Amino acid sequence: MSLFDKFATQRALQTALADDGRVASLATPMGVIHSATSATIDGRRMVLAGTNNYLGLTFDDECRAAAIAAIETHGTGTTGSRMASGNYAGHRALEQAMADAFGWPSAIVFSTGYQANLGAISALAGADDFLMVDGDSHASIHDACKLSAATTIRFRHNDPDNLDRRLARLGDDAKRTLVVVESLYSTLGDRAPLRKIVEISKRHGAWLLVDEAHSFGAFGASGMGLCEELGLLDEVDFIVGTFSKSLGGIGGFCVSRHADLELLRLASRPYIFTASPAPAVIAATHQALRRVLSGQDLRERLMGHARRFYAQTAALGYRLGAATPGPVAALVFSQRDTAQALWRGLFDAGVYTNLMVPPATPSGLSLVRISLSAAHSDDELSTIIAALAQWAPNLGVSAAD
Amino acid sequence: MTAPSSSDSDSAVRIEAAVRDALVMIQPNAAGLDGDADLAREVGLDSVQVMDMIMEIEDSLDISVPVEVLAQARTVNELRDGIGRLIGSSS
Repeated sequence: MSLFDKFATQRALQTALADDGRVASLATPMGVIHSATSATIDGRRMVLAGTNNYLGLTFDDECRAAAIAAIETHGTGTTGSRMASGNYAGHRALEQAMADAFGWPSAIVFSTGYQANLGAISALAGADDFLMVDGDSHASIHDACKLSAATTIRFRHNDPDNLDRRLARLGDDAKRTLVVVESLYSTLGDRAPLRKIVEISKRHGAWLLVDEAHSFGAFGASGMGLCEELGLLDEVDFIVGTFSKSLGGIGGFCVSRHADLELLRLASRPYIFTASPAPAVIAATHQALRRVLSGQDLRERLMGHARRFYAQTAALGYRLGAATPGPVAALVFSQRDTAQALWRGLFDAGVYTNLMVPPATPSGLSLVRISLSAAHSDDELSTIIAALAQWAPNLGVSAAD
Repeated sequence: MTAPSSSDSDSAVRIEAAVRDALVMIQPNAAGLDGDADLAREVGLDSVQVMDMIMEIEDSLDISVPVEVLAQARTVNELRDGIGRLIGSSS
């Protein structure tokens, strides 16, 4: 017996995805990064269409300048936890800016988006509480449930009636239940029925946390996400998000309309027992937030790309994971080999995307996930769509009527 | 020890049927499977398929199964028994 015997599934997947020594379709090695939408991979300059860089801010001049200035004045890292020596003025300023942006009293910054879910959810729901989570939630949410001592119940993905029945079964315990959903699911790009979920959660007296990881920066009048766009900020208790998508950095946050969120700083293990984000990351993220708040131009450009991409790929006959255009565009296949062939075809055509296969995907589906960016030029978007058109016949995909 | 009542027996039959029906719905080849078969190793269900199966059982029996109950069930029989205890504790 070996400690590695239990990884037989992973070994089989690794073997299945091996492609005669060519660049791997998972964890593709990136070479030189030229811009938000261009990199050299395997010796070739390619269009990046799988990076979650929704607003393209990783190469924003002011964000880069803020990061460089922070390194010059504060060094490369804090070397300490927020609870100890790693609590810099920059962290507190960013938290204040996040809270102000939502119009809420409290915000906490975590070192990664993963830790934001892990730290907020596991601390909010304790031994006598309940967690009610969407079945297709991100791994960080499921891991938070494991770390929490709460009783965890899953409900069917995007099924408010299923949530309603489960909360009803809890009776008075629903008042000690935290409902956790994502507003925009990263795998398929589909949106949660947030209005119904808010209504049901409130009717049962449950608390509601919404993960806006893939929607923050992309939706809402000031870019705060789908809850803002739907006018639900007065109804939601907590919003979690990440700095590693629209804001182009790394880190995460939890904001709340409850000032008692501050107590989590004394109770949340993923907040307490890790080093705080580096000053350069905090400075760049703060500048990116200012950019998001400064106007709708990037959001409008991103959504213009999304509408064009969804319309043209659907016309080619591709099946998309969501009906409503958004920054995540998942091309869905029932067979892994078909998705893998498309990923390889796009790569050979100079377009980098993401391949996602079971068991990391819902309902056994295989996907080629394309992330759109405001930084994509119209020509780059044309290149991506032309590559999809070129490969459609090879996959049995035919133009829709 | 008291003899099981007819309602206990009915409940056990109902749970067994719900588990079996859900299993076959997710994995048609699992019809007639030995109750001690390992769901992951022998039936070949991945974690997502196990979750789908549980949700079918939940709808069928009108219950909610905490994730913690799943973690302790590796076989069909263990799952059936876990759900039985769950229903017993809530009645």
